[in-house]
Amino acid sequence: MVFASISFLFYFLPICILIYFLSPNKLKNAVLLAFSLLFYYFGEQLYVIILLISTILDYTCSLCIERFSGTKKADIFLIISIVGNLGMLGFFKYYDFFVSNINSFIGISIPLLKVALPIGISFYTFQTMSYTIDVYRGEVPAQKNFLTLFTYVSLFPQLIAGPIVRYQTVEQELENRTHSFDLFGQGVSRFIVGLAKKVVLANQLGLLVEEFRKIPEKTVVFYWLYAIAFTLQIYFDFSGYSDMAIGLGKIFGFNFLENFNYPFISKSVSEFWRRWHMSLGTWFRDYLYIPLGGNRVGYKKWLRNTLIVWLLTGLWHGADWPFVFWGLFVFVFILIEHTFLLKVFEKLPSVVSRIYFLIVIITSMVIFNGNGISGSLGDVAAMFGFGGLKFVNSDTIYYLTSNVVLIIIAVIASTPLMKTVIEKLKTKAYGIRFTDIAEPVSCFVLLILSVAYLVDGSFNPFLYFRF
Amino acid sequence: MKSRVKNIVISVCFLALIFGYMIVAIITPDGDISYSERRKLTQFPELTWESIKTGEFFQKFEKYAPDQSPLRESFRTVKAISHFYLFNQKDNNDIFIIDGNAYKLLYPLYEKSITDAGKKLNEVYDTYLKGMKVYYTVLPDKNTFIAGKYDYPIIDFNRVVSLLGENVKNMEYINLLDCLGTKDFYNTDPHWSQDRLEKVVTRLSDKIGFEKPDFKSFTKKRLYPFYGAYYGQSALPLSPDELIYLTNDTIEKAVARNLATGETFPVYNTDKFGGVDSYDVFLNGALPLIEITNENASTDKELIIFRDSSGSSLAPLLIGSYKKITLIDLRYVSTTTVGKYVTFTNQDVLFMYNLAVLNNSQMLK
Repeated sequence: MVFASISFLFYFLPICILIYFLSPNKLKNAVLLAFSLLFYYFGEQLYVIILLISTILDYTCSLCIERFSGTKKADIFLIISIVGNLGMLGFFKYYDFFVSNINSFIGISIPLLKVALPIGISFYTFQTMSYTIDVYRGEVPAQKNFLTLFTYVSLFPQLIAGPIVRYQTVEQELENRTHSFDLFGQGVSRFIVGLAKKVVLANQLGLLVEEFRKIPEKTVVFYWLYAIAFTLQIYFDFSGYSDMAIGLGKIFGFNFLENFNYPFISKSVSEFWRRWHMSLGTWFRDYLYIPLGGNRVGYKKWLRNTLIVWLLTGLWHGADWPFVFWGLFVFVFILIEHTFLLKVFEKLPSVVSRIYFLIVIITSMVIFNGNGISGSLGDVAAMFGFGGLKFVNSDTIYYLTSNVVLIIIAVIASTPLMKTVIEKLKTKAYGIRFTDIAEPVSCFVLLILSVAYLVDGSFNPFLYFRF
Repeated sequence: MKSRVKNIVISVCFLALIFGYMIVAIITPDGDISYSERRKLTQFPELTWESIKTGEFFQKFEKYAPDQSPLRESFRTVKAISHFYLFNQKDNNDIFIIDGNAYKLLYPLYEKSITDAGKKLNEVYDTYLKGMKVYYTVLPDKNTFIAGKYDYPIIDFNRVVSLLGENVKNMEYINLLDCLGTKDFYNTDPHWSQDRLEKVVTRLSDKIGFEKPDFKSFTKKRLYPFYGAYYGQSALPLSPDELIYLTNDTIEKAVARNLATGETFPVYNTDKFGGVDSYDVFLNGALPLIEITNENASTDKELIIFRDSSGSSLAPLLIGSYKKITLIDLRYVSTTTVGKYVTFTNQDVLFMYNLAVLNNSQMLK
């Protein structure tokens, strides 16, 4: 089940809210757990067991780590937890990738598993690993109540597509959280904004991307239109889902950390990755990059650490070479920026760094969405006029003019412009009165609009669903 | 308004909407058919242990929920209006409107599909039609007539004819493009209007050599309101069309028969008007094999038309010139099966498919 669906919005959610808020506090986690498992079961019947196994593993290991803290046994239980989690991820997500590559390199034919990837496994295995590592580090106590830990692992607002919520973020709220109309209202507003981002913007941009694939006579301008549309689509798709997750968290009394911070206003690729999918970026930083030495090492080791992080970030997004290539592409630009480019940009007007950043990041998204490495390279070549294509034709002009308003709205919505305007308005008395009325009205309009698009639209993919 | 009050308003409105929607959805009887979209609506899935265990129930429920949404048509209109007027997009669900006339984007041209259509026609010729007088035509879609006048991408009709001509063998092409114009089609539907086909019938008569019917002998009968296929797909409040059909004594006495079932029915079935597809008034709608017999014909000539739905409104106008007309729709019957129901001797044969069908010729069996 996905949040952006009629079945979730008008069946699952009201029943869940009703039972949750009618339940006494001591049963609230059990209610959330039951609905989370139902939510997961809706899309993945058999793989609920994987969730259970993952939780049992980390529950047991974390208790043992705490029990044997400071001894070698704690190390062993940490290794068991990490190997267990990565083993599950490796089995479902990477086994076929590695085996098919071994088969083609050596010329043998080890059979592939061809098993479906459990939804959200990349997210919840990272969450559970962070939990046991934090217990090992002594940053959080081990959770003694199995149901509480299972509720954390399976919590449906963030179960299938993040953000990657660390145990320490919600530790207190799992035990004792407050509910209020304030928090509920904030959660609803955030959820609706996320829903509209996903349904009204991302899906419409996705249709343009689909049209681009279908049209035989492409042009350089159409490639750029596609590239911009896909870049915005993936942003609104994923950040919309994160907004919905954060909003749902608030409705049920949890405060998840932000996952996006207007990434397109960045001036460098390095900055972009501090603003995009922040929960993944900080996970790699805290559990991989810093333990490897981070940037407090010599240049060569820093190079190695950064390369490892980006290769793994690429692989995290998908078990296929284009994702590895994409990770390498990002790594190369971070390397260039770190080595000299950021210093150069300091001396130039910021418009230069912004143009550089947008070209690089849009290109990286085209690589990300390419059909194999050769397809990615072909797309990039075509964007920069090396595909032997016309610059523009009548088809391109049609799709450009038909989507220009959508693109402009999406671009504006991807910047903090609206937020800035609202904050400025709130400094005046009339502005406060205006926003107090405008916010509920906007929420209601966006909700109706989103439902209208859900009812009429059959095109509702979710790009991060299988990561 | 204090922040707390604002959040209470937002919360209460949200809860009222999601609970209200759910209750209305549960207590409202489920619909069977979406008349505007011309399709069956998904029904509540069977709730069994097996369907829950396999996940089938949940998959079907995901389709059921939006299909049976309360205020479904209003939501579709809200989306269409937002699409056209908020985002200024030029089409909604591939439908675009010019001066109250709805068109559908058929773009792009799939050249392989046209080539394959040509091969299909040759296959039929080689199987059944060797030595017979065989003609083919390409019916233009109504947006063929606005090509170049607006910036909508339109398939190049001449390219389709040229491609088909390069592949089709042993058949003569009949050009109908100059016999038609935008006004010969319904505003809310892709079909041509039967009362506007005099030029088409004249051209076919000249080329194939049958006696041209006297259009003055036809009586116009009118059915209103006719909500065509594009009306529902656009989800906009367009003005309905008037469905006009032409009849005379010969047509009234002619008998149509479904060759697959043996069932007989009148050439015009007005009971079908107001149903899922009002165009089904003509020869009962989409059927694979239909035979129209004119017992009072003064000729023994017979005609076979390989056709899509446009053929249903053309054939009645020709029945006065033939003793029997057989209509074969290869979208619903395979080439190999046709021979079990139809005997090919020395009939006139016409292949008549719309550009949209030829561009998706995988549907021709």
